[in-house]
Amino acid sequence: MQYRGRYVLGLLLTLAYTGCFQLIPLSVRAVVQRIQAQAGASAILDGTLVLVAVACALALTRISSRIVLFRAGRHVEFQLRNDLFDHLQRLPQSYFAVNRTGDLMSRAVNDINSVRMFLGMGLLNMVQTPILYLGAIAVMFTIDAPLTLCVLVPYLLLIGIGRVFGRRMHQANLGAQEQLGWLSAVAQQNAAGVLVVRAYGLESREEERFGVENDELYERQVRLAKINSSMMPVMTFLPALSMILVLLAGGARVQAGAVEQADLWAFYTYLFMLGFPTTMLGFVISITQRARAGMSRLNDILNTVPAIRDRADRVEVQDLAGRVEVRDLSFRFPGREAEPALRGLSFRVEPGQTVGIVGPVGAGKTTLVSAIPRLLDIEDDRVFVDSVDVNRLPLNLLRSSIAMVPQDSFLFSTTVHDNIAFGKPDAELAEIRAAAERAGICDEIDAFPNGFETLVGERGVTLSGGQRQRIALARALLLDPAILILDDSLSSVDAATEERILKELRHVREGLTSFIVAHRVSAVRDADLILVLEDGLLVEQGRHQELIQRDGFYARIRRQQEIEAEIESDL
Amino acid sequence: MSMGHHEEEQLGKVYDRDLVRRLWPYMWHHKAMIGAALLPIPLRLPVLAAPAVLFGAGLDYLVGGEGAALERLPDWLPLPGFLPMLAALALLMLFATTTSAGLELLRAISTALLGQRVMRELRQDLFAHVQRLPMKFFDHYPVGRLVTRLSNDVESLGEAFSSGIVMLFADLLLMGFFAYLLFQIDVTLALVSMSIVPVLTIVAVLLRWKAREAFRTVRVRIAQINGHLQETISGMKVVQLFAREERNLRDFSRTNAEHRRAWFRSINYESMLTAIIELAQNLTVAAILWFGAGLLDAGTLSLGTLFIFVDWMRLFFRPVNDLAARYSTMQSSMASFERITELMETPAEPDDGGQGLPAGREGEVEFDNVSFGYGNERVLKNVSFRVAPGERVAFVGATGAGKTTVLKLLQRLYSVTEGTIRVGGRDIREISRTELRRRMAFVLQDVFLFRGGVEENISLGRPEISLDDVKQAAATVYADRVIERLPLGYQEPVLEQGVNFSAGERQLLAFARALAQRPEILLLDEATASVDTETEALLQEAVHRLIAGKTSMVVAHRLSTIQDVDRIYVLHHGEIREVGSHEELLELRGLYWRLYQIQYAAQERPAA
Repeated sequence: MQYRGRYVLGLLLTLAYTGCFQLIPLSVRAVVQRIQAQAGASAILDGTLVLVAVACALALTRISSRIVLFRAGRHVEFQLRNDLFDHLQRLPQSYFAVNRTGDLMSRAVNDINSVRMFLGMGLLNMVQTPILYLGAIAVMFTIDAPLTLCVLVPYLLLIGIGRVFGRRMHQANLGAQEQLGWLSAVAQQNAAGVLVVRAYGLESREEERFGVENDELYERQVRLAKINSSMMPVMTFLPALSMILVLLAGGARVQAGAVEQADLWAFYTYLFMLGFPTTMLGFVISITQRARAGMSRLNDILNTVPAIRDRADRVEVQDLAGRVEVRDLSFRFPGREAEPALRGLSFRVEPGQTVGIVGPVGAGKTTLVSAIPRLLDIEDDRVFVDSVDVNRLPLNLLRSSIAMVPQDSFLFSTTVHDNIAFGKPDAELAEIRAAAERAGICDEIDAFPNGFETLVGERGVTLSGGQRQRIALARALLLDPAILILDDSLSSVDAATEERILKELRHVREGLTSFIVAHRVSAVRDADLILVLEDGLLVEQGRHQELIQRDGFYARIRRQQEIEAEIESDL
Repeated sequence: MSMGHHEEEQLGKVYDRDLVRRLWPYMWHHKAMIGAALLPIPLRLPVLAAPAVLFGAGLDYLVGGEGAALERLPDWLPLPGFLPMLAALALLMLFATTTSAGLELLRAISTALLGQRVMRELRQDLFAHVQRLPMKFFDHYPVGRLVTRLSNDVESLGEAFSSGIVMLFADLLLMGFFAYLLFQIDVTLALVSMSIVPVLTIVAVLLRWKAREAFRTVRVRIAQINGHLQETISGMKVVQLFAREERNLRDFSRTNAEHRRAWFRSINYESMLTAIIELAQNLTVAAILWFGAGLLDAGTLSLGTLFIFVDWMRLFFRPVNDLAARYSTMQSSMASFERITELMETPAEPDDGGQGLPAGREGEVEFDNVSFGYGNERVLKNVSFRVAPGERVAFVGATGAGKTTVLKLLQRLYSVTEGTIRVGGRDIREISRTELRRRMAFVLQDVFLFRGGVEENISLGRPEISLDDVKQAAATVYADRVIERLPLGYQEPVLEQGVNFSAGERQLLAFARALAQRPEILLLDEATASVDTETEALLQEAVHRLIAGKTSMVVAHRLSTIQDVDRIYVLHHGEIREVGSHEELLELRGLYWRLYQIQYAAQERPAA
């Protein structure tokens, strides 16, 4: 806890604040006493000036204590968010396959927020309220003990009621939040399934459904609002009761000569000042509970041990040549143990060779190429680069030696330039242009409104699938890797363009080991080794000619694609 | 990565006449509730002011409360004598505070109800409006944004009703009332104590304004943080592959720190504001005491009156702070309302002709020179064909040839750019949309299942479709095999988007759904998803039984599915290039023949 010092300072200042706080009614009492005793103008002025001084000190300690404490809360929030971000970046791909973006986002946003609420407002009140109470009670005791005991009775009730309200409010709040979630889910489903809704004329049914959830939300919100609204009057009513007691019992004490009128005034002021922190009690209880729940959900993420990281038995290698060997590699995604994604694959690639990988959707092609840069957590001694188990290679070296163009060609909402320079942020423009040139996208980028500075995405230019893929390719080509992996990276460009790009890439690829996952046979025809995957199994491997002669799956899809090409060219 | 501006960042004007005009109907609907929320406010004023008067009176009474009656009592019993007076004052105080709490409860609950009712109405209206928006709206508007409008924005607007409008009135009334009372007690003292108000107002407005600026930055930064986080999670593969973690964390940390800094400023202003208001209050008390002491000496003021003055001053000050907060609430409510209005003003689908289908000719479909494009590019070009009742036709062609578009146009999910589509001899633009769609059943390529039960997903909740109808439909297309294997059968819950069913199972359910609706025309967009050989065979057979004996238009990906339909249209780049039966088209040795070759090549299994 690196912000302990700030918290200690904050607490000390809070203590000072509550001290000044106690002095206000006392100073008022002193002035009133002097007025009553007709002590003369200068004595009254002195008393008033003391009050002014205390008021100024109160303001200063209030400002400083709050600034220090609330800032400390923001510091912790900052740290927590950074830690979470850092941690997420270390988790393997399989983690993101199981945990949806929406869920992770909601934790990062809402749960951090509930923890932060507690660290600021919650903590302040948790510390301040008891001290305020103790201080006020102590001072009131010194003025008159019997009266103090008497007027505090309603406050005991207040604390009890605060707790009950806090609990009920918390429950009502959860209920309303949950229902809001349901309502959103109905709206979400409606929009996602809009085609079915329209095609079957289900609009009125959907409105009814929404109406039911909407009414339920209304009911729950009203329940919550009723608790919230009744809390305030109850919480102001009880202090009022105390003030009545001050008048009644205090009157008796004045009559008995035990206290003065000025003391009653002071009591009145104390009770009024304690009112607000007491009403905050229920709120504090509720945010403490929310913070606990939020923190435990955040810990779910933070306690996930990143399986993919540099290991103690890491082999220090300076440079990779690109020899890849896979020995009896099997892989199962967590949660889908019943269906292995890869089953016992073995093959070997020399530096500079090109491997083509084909097979139907879901055959395991992406899983296989993801194992090489350790995007997945695989067993030891299954995948080797330069004869070293990838699990023992320095992660940074391994990944920076591999340039991979993933299937979905994800681009970030920044400029085209920054997207291409993603792996090499300090690249010269000339290098970036060259990479774009090789990926066959340079001319198109130049034609964008702001060229390479054009923004990608919602607020910028809308790119076609083929353009996205080629920018993703340029991003990979900018690196100087030993291994290049194209995971079906040109599926959205037409066959002729794909062929042109691959031809252009041929001399880039010289000297680097390349893996080309493709659905077009034409893309892998010239590979040194073609792997055919079906259902996680390596069913055929060899060169193009060998596979054609085998007349298996490979030969079949090749025939199919040739006819397809014929139709296309027939226009 | 630099994330720019999001529309959520904008703060609205506090008052916009157009918006208020649009808000008016909602206010008018709930005028009784507004009345119920406003009425307790003036009623509460006297009982709010009373306790101070009573307590002050008590203080004064104690000064002069030495009555002869007291002398007679023993010393150890100090109570009676003055007690009846004090008891009467206390009783009145109890009455006043009880009434005050009661009125406040009434106000708080009616205000909350008002807000909630407006929200419920607005949400329902908004949802209903979305149901009437044209399909092309959904092509561009992200689902998430829609959900935000319905949840957060509506909520924020509801606050304008509950804590904005009503409380604004209450605050102003309270300040006016207590200012009046203070002047009633003593003009000089009132002037002295209120001399700080203009200064305070200026300081408060200034600090609020600064705080709002800071808060605006906070919102921009948090939007950036969340944008960055979202992108990093979605693009984590790329981040890790390109070893950008460190730099990415640095960028994130920078935005995160800017967010923190913006909060620091906001914290400074907020802390100062509350402390200054507290200070002003205490200084005013000091001033009242000082000047009051003089008046006390002069005999124009009693101690009790001084007390009353101080306590009323406190009640006068309370709204000063609240007023500034209300301003921010109103501002963000107005920004939300603006976004809601924007959605509400998106034109709904144009009115339909409202006519029915001509009786006896329901199954007749005609495309007359139809052209259509989603954007500038034309997807269909001068397509004409006619389907007689009871005929089964199929559309084939490469991806993007425009096959699915034909079906969507027939359903009027989109409107034709040129030409006319007729069903039963009537232009579909003249036919009621509901009626048109009700007579057809459209099996979509991506099967969408609703969260709920299996039965409900087939009957689509229509009361006229009984469980027996559902079972019969399911049996016809073999979906019963799937359903009967489920633990709860027809009542088995379907999870979000039907994730607990395989692709093949989902399709069978969609077939059963289409059949159960007893359509005049069946539209089938065959799914491309690959399924195992056994399921594939089952699906093919199911399609045969689905379209048997009714007007059907099938977009086929597997040519084997449609070999016995009456007519096949071959679409290529939006045009009909070949028409005929399976045999005729094969003889033609054109596009269809080639397409057939492709599938033949794919289906042929090597001799193992």
